[in-house]
Amino acid sequence: MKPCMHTIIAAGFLGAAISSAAAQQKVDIRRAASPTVSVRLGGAISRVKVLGSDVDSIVLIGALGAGSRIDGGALNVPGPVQGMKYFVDAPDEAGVRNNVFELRVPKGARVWIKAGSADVEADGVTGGLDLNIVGGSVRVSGKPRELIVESMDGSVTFAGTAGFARLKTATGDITLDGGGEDLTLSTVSGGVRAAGGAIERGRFESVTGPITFAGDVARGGDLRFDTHSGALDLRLARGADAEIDAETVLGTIENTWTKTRPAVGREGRGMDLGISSGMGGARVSIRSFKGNVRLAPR
Amino acid sequence: MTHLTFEELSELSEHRLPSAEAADHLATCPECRAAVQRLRNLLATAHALPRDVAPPEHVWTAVRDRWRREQGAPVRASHVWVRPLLVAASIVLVAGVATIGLMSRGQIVKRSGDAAAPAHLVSAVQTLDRNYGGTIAELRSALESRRDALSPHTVRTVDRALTIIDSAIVEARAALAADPANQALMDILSAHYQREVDLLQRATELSSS
Repeated sequence: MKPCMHTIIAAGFLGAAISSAAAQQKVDIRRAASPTVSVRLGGAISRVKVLGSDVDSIVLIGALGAGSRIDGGALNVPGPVQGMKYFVDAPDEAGVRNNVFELRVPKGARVWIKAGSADVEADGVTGGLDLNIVGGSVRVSGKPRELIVESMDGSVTFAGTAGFARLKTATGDITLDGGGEDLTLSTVSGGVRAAGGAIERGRFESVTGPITFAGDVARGGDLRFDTHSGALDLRLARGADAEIDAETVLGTIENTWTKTRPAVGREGRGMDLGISSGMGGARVSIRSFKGNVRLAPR
Repeated sequence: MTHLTFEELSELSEHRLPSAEAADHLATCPECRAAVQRLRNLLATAHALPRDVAPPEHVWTAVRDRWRREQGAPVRASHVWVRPLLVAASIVLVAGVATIGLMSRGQIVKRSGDAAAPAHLVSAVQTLDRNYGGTIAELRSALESRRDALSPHTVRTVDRALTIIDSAIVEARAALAADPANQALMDILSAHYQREVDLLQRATELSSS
């Protein structure tokens, strides 16, 4: 009897799936932990999701690709874990792709993740997050007390509020949907977009990347925008209490937020703009070499 | 002869009117006049200090690591050969930035219309070039020797970003040469140098992990 083509294809897929399942190893690590446990996870990871919860335990589950292995463990033996450290190794790029994890931690934990090209997602951690990748993406949501993200060309997105945040990329985009006390968003050529919350002390920096800000300046806040040639687009609430000082060396300044007109800079190049709106209070300084600056109402 | 008290010297240094006795003494005492002048110089230097100086990122990292150690948490591992270099770079940078701050801040009337570069500003640019130039050269050399440890994709990304920063530095330097009294340009150039150091440090750390 001649086998039908569908049967052959189905058998092929089944064989591949069985082989892949056999090659993969499951990871399932569970330990009671202190509420402020420190967890470090690094190495050949392609995807990791970090979840903070009210439960004082650590759960690391996921899968390891063929030939990959995970080393490490708790830093103390008796009692709830105060520190855990894991490192993942992979034999090749294909192995890295299959190394996928979910890390559940007490919400007050401090979590360090360092990977090459990886997608990192974190939600619900109120302690500290220190996430370092080369490519891929980082998405954080919640209210971390301290958030440090460094990436080369991976994108960085933060939705929430942070006591302290440093988000840095070389060429990746940075998106902030929220606010906080002390935030720095810095990139070389990526775009910076910030909106959605009040910021007390904010630094927004780029060399060539565009910067768009549509957030709020906290009362008495201090925001600084610096770019070399990126377009700077600030959209502020009408009548916001702020002292604005903008200056370009070669670029233009366009202001439709108030009626104040910018002045031409020294030697007929660049522009200057000084605005005091409402009760003043917050300070906004804008500095650009040749990027054009635009102030508009939100 | 009884010299002026420190309080009297202090009041005189702030250009407050002296008492008749103090004025008489000051007119005849070169030591007290010199003391008043020294105090005025000190006050001028203090006023010229920047209002706030953000610590370089690596200083914060060191503080953070120490705090973490005290909390019993793991600290970010750095390759042993990188750390002395970064520490040395930090010392040079902090010294350089402090010097530049002293030389340039508060002493320049922004947009004065005076195109002639004040001597201290020219000197500040030279100090900036010297300090950052040396640090950047060392970090580039360190990165070059570890380039093989980075993926080709990372190398391309770092090179692209460095090219962008270098172009920005060239443009800022050219503008500063044409307008040497422009404090904003000084700040822009300084920020570009700092970004380059920052990027090189990150790339070097990546290559060593």
